[in-house]
Amino acid sequence: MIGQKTLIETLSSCLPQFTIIVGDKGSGKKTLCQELSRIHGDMIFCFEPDNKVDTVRQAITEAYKNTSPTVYAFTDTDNMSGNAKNALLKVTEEPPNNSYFIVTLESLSNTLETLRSRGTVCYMNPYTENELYEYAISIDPDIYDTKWELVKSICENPGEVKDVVIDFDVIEFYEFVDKVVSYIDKASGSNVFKISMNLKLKDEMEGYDLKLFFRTFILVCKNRYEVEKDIKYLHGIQVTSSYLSELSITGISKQGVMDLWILDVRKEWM
Amino acid sequence: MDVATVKSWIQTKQIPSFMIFSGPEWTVQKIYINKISEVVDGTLKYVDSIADIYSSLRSRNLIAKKNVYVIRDDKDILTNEKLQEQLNGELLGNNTLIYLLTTVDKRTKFYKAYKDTIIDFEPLKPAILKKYIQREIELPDKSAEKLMEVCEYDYGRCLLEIDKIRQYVAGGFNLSEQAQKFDKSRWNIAFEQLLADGTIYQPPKDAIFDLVDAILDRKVNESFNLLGQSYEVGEATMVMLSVLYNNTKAVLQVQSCEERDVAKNTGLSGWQIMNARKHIGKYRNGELVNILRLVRECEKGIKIGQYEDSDVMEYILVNVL
Repeated sequence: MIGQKTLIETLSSCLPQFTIIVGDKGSGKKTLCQELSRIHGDMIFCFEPDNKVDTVRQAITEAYKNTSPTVYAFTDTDNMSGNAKNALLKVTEEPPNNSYFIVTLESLSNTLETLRSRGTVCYMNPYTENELYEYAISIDPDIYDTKWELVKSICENPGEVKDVVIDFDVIEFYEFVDKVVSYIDKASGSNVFKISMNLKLKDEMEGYDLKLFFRTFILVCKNRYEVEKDIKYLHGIQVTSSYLSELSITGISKQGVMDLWILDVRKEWM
Repeated sequence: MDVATVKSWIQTKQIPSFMIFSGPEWTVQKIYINKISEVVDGTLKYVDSIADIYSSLRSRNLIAKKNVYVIRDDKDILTNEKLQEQLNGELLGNNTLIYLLTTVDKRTKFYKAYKDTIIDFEPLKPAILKKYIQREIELPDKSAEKLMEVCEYDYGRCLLEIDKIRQYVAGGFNLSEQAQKFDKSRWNIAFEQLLADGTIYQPPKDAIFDLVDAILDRKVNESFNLLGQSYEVGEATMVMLSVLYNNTKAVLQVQSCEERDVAKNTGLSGWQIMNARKHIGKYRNGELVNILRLVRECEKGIKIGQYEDSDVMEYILVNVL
């Protein structure tokens, strides 16, 4: 595990009976759970296959019969059903002896207030540049400087580094965004929406991640502003930043965000 | 098994003592049950549960008359395996038992044990149903098809509506005059009148696409009516928002396209373009952009708990139309 030293130290000395780990997608929440299972070798770690209510109830039934310390880990619980959350709430109010529960979330607002109040909330710490570089080297030992410069400018966590380094060519991606910056205000109104065809706006689709696209757009605008000193790029950064923050709302339509972003950037630039 | 098996049993007069009927066509089941009771020469008895007749089945009477028992959805038969064995064995004697299951849960032990013997009364095929309707009353093909559609292809419901038409024809003093005037049968005139005044109930249709079309055509009254209908059939607000968003975007793309090859320029399919073209010119491009913004604002509001999803569509209609 790279980084998260403070968090690992805290949780390895004493694991609370109910821990809520909060962090962005790709920030290493699941890896942290696996690291904890390695550290707490004397405990049995159960990584639950899904977050359905039946799975939660099954885990609760088992929790009351445990004779040796057991940890039940529920990962990516942002979309856990209300029934499952309530079932979990019941057991976390008075956890049985020898039973520990860990849930991971992208946003704390995606869980019940009551559940939050019963758990020890741990936030994933931001990764330093060195930690991300260490990770990038571990997955691509041949990463060269120009590529790394780009990766570090748009990625905030190991998951994103992995996407950028392994899944697509970051230089090609930057060129694509650069082209978008050049033509977004010049293309016709009907044609401009075709930009989204290159982006992954639904889980089942293929393409570039929208968050990375927005960050790269900001980077390109920044670079161009430094050279051209055109204020339109600052407006572009402003609009994109506000849309970037909207992406953290669970269940938001990425297609809708993308379309309105296009319209807003054009409005500012035309 | 299908209905043909029951037909062959009736023709050969080889009726099993225990039968299971399932499926939605209750009226057809009833016809077969009556026929079976005629063939076995038994008294038809509808009973609530097996418990009501169990003791009389156990105590055999040599001079007792044959009975055809009909039981619907009895839980004991469904769950008690011992009872099922008895029913397949000697318990029924000369009697016949028809067990009706409204719906069959395919996960149950009962289904697994009897899946080869359950007789499925599937809805009648449209062509056959039309023949049955036309046998009852003199309706032209188009009206018979409409009647089937409003009755959701259920023979029982068709018969109930036919009964209404019959009553209306019997009491309709000037139907014959109208029939002569419009060169239609009395039945057809009666059917059309009952349909128009709502006596023949028409279930609300999936109105979501009509609603979005009405909004994009700027038809105020129709939009509000269709919104009511959409809520009536339980359409989710998020689905309405999604359809409205996509169609508005398609109209905007097609309307603002100056090139000849619209599909190539917009990335839309031929069907989407054809659909969007119907609404061109009803809104200016800026207005269409505002609809997109409004829909997205509402969608976001629902997600973050700012808006109640039951009020959002009215809010959009008021702002857009």
